[in-house]
Amino acid sequence: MNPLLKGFLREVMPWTWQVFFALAVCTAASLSFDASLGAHSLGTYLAYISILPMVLLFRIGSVLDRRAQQGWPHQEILRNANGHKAPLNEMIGSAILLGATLLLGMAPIVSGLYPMPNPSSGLYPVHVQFTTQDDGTELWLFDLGSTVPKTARLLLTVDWSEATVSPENAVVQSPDERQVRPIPGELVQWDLSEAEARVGKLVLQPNAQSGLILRKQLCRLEIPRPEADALPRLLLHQFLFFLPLFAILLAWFRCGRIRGSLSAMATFTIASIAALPLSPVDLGSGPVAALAKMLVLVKLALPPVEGLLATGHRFDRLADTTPELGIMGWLMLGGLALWLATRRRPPRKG
Amino acid sequence: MNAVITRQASSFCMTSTPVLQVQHLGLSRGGRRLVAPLDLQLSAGERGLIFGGNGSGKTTFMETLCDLLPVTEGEVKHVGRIGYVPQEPRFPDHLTCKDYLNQLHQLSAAPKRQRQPDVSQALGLFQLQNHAFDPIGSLSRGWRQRMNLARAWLSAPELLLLDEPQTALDPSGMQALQDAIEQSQVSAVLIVAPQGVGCDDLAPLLLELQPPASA
Repeated sequence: MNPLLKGFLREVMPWTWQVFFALAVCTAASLSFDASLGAHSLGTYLAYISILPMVLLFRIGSVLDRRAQQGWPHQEILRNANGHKAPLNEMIGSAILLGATLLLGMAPIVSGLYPMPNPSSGLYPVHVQFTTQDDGTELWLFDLGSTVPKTARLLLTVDWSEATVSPENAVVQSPDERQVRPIPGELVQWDLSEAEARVGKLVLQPNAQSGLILRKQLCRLEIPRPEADALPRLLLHQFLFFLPLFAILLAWFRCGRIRGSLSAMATFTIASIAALPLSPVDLGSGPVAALAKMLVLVKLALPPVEGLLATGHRFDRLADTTPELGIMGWLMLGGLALWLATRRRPPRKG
Repeated sequence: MNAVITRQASSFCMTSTPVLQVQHLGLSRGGRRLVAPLDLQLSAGERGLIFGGNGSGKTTFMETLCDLLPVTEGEVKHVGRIGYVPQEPRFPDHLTCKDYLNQLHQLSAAPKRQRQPDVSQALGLFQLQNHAFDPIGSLSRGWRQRMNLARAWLSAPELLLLDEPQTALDPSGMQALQDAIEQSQVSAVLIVAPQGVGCDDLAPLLLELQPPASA
């Protein structure tokens, strides 16, 4: 390993910090999976683990500040004509530490220290309410609020009391002519297509003049919980979410010439906005609403990557909802930030 | 007139390509001009000394030459890498001398073959071998100055800029500095220091900076 990279890794993560991270992971596992303490939720565990990359972000910010006080920027200007060696090493170092942190997050589960209860047996899927509209033309319009996992399905309750069709002839179908036969006394189960899951909206239509009535209050979206073996994939998602943020931190610090701790704060703000799930809420008016609208605008300008940081109680709904294009866009944003960070620093003002 | 040119810099130019060219460089601090526009040229293997008292703009001049301050008037051109000995060096005190120089050696833009002197040679130039594994923070002021010099000599920069390099050096340190300058066949060396502090014999005098009249 080259001395620059080794020096950066040692400075960011001395043994005291390594112990702190290991203890933090153990605590997270205890609070999530312990028989008496734990919330028995993978989403809770992922939420605790996601704190560590953020701590790492601020830690790197403070190390960048310290290195600036130690005269490293001067040495870079003096020794490196194109100025890319130090930021590239810092980026590689950040990626290694991020990867190691998330791998550490797998340790309590993989080692069997905290056997995670497998909640994905189908016994306890998540049921989510959503908006249902009826336009009076016997079209059932469903708005799921946002992208949902491809594995989700609709559970619909149909009232047959005014039905004019026999159960054998009753059909509910979508515009692309996929159909399902409703059976009296049973829930209508509609598996979402990839497009429907992505858009989060769909239209279904029963037979014309069938008299089938949709019980809107009883409509549910059923989302299977990710299984225990989904943990590596979900941690990889966190890796993809946080990796560009370290490049953005370096860009703030090096190109924006902002102090490392403030750069970390600015990056954390971007991360918070990127992780914000948008839902159709009327924001109203007033200064707070104006601020919220501004945040929404910034959020819309960023790639839709909130699904990569699926944590907490809504993680089942967000996990695996990020489109590949969103991930590509997010990584490209990180690439752009890294390119900015590797540009040679101009002399400071006299 | 704040600068007295005691000898034309061009008289020191040899036949090779200039490593450092300074044309009509104006220096100012806090909106106040420090010296009259300066002209200077150094080629590989050449050495030069600039005298200047307190507040005459020596450090501002050196920091402008090595791109740490912007050029506001005139032009500075240099070829290749610069080794700079600042008057007030800053170090990562928690690193050992060897670890720090290893990292700086890696930072150098020069190809590995050309990075001579390497870390052990640079330590040897200033008799720092016995302190190679000591944290920099544990060194005395004099040994820190030797580290300051070793850092500048590392990886064979084409231009060495020394700002009061004699600071805190004992006679053996001064001798090591003199030997290192004499051995620097490839690098051009420019020294700034006050007159009479021990640097007078390190290089031929190029010019003398004087503080502004009102300072």
